[in-house]
Amino acid sequence: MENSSTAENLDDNPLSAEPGLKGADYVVRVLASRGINTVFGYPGGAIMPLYDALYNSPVEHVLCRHEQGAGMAAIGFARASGKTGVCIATSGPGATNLVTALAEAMLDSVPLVALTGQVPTTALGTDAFQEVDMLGMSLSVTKHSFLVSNVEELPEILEQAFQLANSGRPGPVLVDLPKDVLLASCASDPSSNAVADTQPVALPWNLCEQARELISQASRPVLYAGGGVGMANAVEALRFFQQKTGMPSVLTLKGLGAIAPDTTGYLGMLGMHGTRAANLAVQQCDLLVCVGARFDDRVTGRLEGFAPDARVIHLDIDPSEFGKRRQPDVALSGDLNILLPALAVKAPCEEWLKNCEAMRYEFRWRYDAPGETIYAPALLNTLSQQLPDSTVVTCDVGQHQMWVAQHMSFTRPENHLSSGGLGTMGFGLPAAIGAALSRQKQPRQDDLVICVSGDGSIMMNIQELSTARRLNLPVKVVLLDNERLGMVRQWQSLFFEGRHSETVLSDNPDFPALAQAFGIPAQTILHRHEVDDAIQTMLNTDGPYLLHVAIDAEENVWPLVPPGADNHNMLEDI
Amino acid sequence: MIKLDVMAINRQAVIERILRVVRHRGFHVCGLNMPTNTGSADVQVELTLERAGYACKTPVDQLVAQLIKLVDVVQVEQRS
Ligand SMILES: Cc1ncc(C[n+]2csc(CCOP(=O)(O)OP(=O)(O)O)c2C)c(N)n1
Repeated sequence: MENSSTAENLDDNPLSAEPGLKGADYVVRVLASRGINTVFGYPGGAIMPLYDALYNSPVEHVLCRHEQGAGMAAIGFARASGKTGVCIATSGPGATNLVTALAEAMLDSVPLVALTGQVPTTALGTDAFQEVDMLGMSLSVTKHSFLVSNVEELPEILEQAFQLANSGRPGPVLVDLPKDVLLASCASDPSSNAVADTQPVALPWNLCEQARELISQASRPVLYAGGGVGMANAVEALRFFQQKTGMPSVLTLKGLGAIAPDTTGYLGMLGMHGTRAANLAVQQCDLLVCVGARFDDRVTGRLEGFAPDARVIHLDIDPSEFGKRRQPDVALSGDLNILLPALAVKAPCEEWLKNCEAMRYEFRWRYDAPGETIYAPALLNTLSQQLPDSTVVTCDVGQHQMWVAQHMSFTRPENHLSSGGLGTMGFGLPAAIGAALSRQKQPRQDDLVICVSGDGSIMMNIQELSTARRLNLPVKVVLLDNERLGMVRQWQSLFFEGRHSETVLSDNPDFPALAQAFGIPAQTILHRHEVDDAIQTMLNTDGPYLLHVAIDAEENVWPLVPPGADNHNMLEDI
Repeated sequence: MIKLDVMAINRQAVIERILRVVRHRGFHVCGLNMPTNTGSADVQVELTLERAGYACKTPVDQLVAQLIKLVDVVQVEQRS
């Protein structure tokens, strides 16, 4: 939630409106009045007035080294803190470089406000230097977008932008700011009206009663929860519901952390790389209670074969998810903090819970792989056990991402930042920077941030090592180097007859030397016996660090539900 | 043929936004009618749609649910 306390103190605020203030100053005053003290961006021609207004302002601007880095850092900031992420770019190439971050925020429902420079209104539509129709480009990757065509519109548009980014199902909002609008005089004060919370809506008792009835009759129920739980600040409500109903639980990639890992009947992640226990339980269940999740194709496998015997209760803030992939028997849209307690009735499922616990034990992870090469799942598990609970772990996309989800433990969803919907390589490092900034406390007491990356992904936003160094952030990169685009290589091995087309990265740079060139200490490890010491060195080093870990090029992620298969037909190491 | 009446607030790019959602969610515009409205706060759009081949099973309700999520769309009704 945003800190609105500064809004009430506007009179004491040195940024309170004075004659001579411009549109750009107004934008900065809005940020300050909303308690947004950190923004991420990269300057350029059209946005220069805003950078001028940021100069000496109380809003800290973090200069990233690529606009995509700035966008992803703002997302990391938002996801790790629950606040709004703000990123800034200039017109044309600066703005187009933000597009992937907008799509990322769209698919993972992250409250993000992007402020982009634009050519002056007088030059709009003339193919002016660095003019891109950013409003047009934003339509498919934002929840909403605005082109401010007159400074008088600025107050209302900014108000709406922040409100929309955070309301209902959160998402990205873009505000395109022509240079003359930023330079036009604008002496009004940001309104100090706190955004009205959505009015509590009366619960649809009928539907609640139907849901309670389904739960109280289910002998094999499963709770299936996703990223919506964390976004709604409903972790406690979900845990209360789970305890009261007594049902086993599974989580999506984005839900990890919403149920504490040691909870009885918690079976881990479901879906393509989920645990065998989670997938088998869902396939066998008679009732699936889907909370803040959306039956994504990575979760369901073959949709028609997913949880074939289950009745479905679906709870989500966004009613367009109901029936989009799976028809629910009861669907309830609203605040999970209100819905979940209203449905918390005991399910008659003690036997089933025991069965699920037995499955969890039977299919527990094993870390006894033979040999001296470093086994990535074991390394991640060892690392996870040594981290304080408040640590944030970000990751990139590929095999290492799935190993993080499988082998590291999370007690809060905001501590596991993974690019879920878009699956964006290059997310991990800038997201870690944003997360670290959002968790700054006392010097040396900041929350630690681990970024687990792959040798392919890290190169997509490697320039952000510079940002981590500049700010001396406690971001520790664990780079799992298989000299491959591992996840694609795995699919080529399994489903394309081993034709490894363009997935060999044996000419990677010397990663420790590269880190050191950015002023970041680094170390390579090649053998299993080096792991413990290397982890200690990394954790004991102040500021950023890169641990370069050589792993087997042929290692695969197991289990795997192959494309088009039902979730109980998982492939295992063979 | 599917007929939808869309009522929306007459703001920046509202028609583009509606048409984009229609296309992306698997429908094809075969008719579009929008009365001239200068200076009015609302726009009324009548859409006549077909399903694109890949969306042959998508219920119209799904399209309506996506359209209503657009910030400026106020109401969507299906006409028989
Ligand atoms: C920006 C982007 N481009 C391409 C892909 C497709 N892709 C998914 S995983 C992957 C390989 C990732 O390799 P690496 O980062 O080394 O991780 P590994 O799988 O080896 O752990 C690729 C190319 C993607 N997800 N994102």
